[in-house]
Amino acid sequence: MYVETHSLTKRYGSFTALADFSFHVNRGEVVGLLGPNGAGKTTLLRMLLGYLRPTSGSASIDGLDCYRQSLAVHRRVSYLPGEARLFRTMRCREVIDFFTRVRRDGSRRRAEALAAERFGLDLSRPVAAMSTGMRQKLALAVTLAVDTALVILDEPTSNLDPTVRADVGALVAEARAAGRTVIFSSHVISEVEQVCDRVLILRAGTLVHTQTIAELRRKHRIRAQLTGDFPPMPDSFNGHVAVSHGHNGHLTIETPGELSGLLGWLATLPLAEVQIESVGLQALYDQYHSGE
Amino acid sequence: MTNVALWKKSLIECRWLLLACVVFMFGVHWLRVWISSFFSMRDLETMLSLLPAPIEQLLPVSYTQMATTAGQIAAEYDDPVVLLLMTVWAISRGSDTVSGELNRGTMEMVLAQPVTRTSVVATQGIVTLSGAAVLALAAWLGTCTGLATVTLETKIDPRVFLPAALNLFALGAFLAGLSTMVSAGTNYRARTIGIVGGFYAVSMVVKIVSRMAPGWEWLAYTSFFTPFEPQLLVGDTARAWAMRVETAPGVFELGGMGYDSVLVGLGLICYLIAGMVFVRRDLPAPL
Repeated sequence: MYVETHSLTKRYGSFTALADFSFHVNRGEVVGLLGPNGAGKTTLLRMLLGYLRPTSGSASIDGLDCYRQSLAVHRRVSYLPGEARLFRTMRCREVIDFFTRVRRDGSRRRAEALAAERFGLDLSRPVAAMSTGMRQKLALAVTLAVDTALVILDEPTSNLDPTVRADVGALVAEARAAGRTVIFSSHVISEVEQVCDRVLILRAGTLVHTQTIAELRRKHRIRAQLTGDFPPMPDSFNGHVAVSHGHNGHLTIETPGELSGLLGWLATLPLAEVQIESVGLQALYDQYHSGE
Repeated sequence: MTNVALWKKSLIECRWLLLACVVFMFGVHWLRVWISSFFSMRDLETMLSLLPAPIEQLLPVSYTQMATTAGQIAAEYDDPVVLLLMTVWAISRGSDTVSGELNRGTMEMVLAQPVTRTSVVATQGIVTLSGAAVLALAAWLGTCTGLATVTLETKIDPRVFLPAALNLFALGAFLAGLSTMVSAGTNYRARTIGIVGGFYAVSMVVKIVSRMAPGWEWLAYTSFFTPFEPQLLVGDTARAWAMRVETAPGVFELGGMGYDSVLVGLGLICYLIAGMVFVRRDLPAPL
């Protein structure tokens, strides 16, 4: 395990920002953090970076304590904060120069290529004269140009247009292909579903669900109108297939696995208006955060 | 402990402020020498003798010493404009060290790099102290240039103003340390400037009260302005370069080096506390 926390807790007086949080990230994995504002995503990331002293519990990256050995941890991590603020007294090129000189593994050429070619930034432009989106692109370029084993991106696509959002997804995929570990926090559920291997859903500072995306993609939901009597379910589906009856003969069947076995049985049922859909991350997220 | 990128960043951030302060500092000192050339010191002494006696109590030197060319030029080292320049430099850079970066949200990305919090404070501190030294040097060079280009009643060796310039640097070092210490514990730069500004004003009032109110002389020990006496150090070579001087049998007072040691020492202690506070505190999310 590359990243690991054990009962990590952060309290501010009577307010608990993160409670008894335990999770792990394997080397080379892309893990997404999902949750509304105040769920504890940023607190978790800031504790991984050693910015906050844990009230209790521990966090480690590559076996190093995130708080006590933060310097060694930072050598292994490249981090993009939620609202990346850059030095307004500098020009774009000077910012790149700073972030690629301040650490040994920074590549100025790669950062400039990302900023100028991929994101279309003018490197001679002063940061103070850049829009929020441009600054976010510059921050992304300097973060992704560093060759660290772990990349932490806190809402990297906020303030970005749809084209660049797609680019960010591609860059995360490139990082994964290069064997780098990525922790990706976002409010955009489709984005997390697209780029992550696994997702953690947070609510009020606690981890409420962990889901691998591959498993999620196999989950399906069938909605239909029952036109006759519902026969007993075959024994082979027990424990795998969930059936719920709604009002006026509405029927919902959920399956976590392959559909092929189920389809034959469905064909024998007295059903009309059959709809088959992938459960998707949104539905899973709504189970924990509907109405928020 | 520190790295080149941090040095460069720190210098980029302060270059224009430093340049402006240096030009002003040099200019006002040169100007002072030039203006002094228009006055007859005898006339000035007559004029000063007409002032009420309590005013003399407020001054660091006697009317007689003030009414000398060296005394006139030395007065520039604690002129309000000069104090303002050094104060602006020290407080603006000191307050920027932690609370300024937190306020702008840039600390988040700086500390995500493999740099220690101590190195961030140390780099800013060294740049600020070097800037204060450059300002003090600019003041002295302004005086030197004035003495070399302006014809005065008496010839003065520019080296007599070195202790005054050193004392000015020491004041800057203390203010920079104090601002950095307050900055290390706060999240807002305006709050840091407010706290240090308030302390500055109170110290100034305390020094005036200690000079004017009989029985309240002890208050002088609580003001950081007490060891700032650049005028006193000009023309009194023995005091200027001594740690302490015997003003009466068995009565000792701090000399110029003593004043500077107190101010620089307190400034360094403040820096040390700033480092300890910043290392231990939680880093708040960008405001």
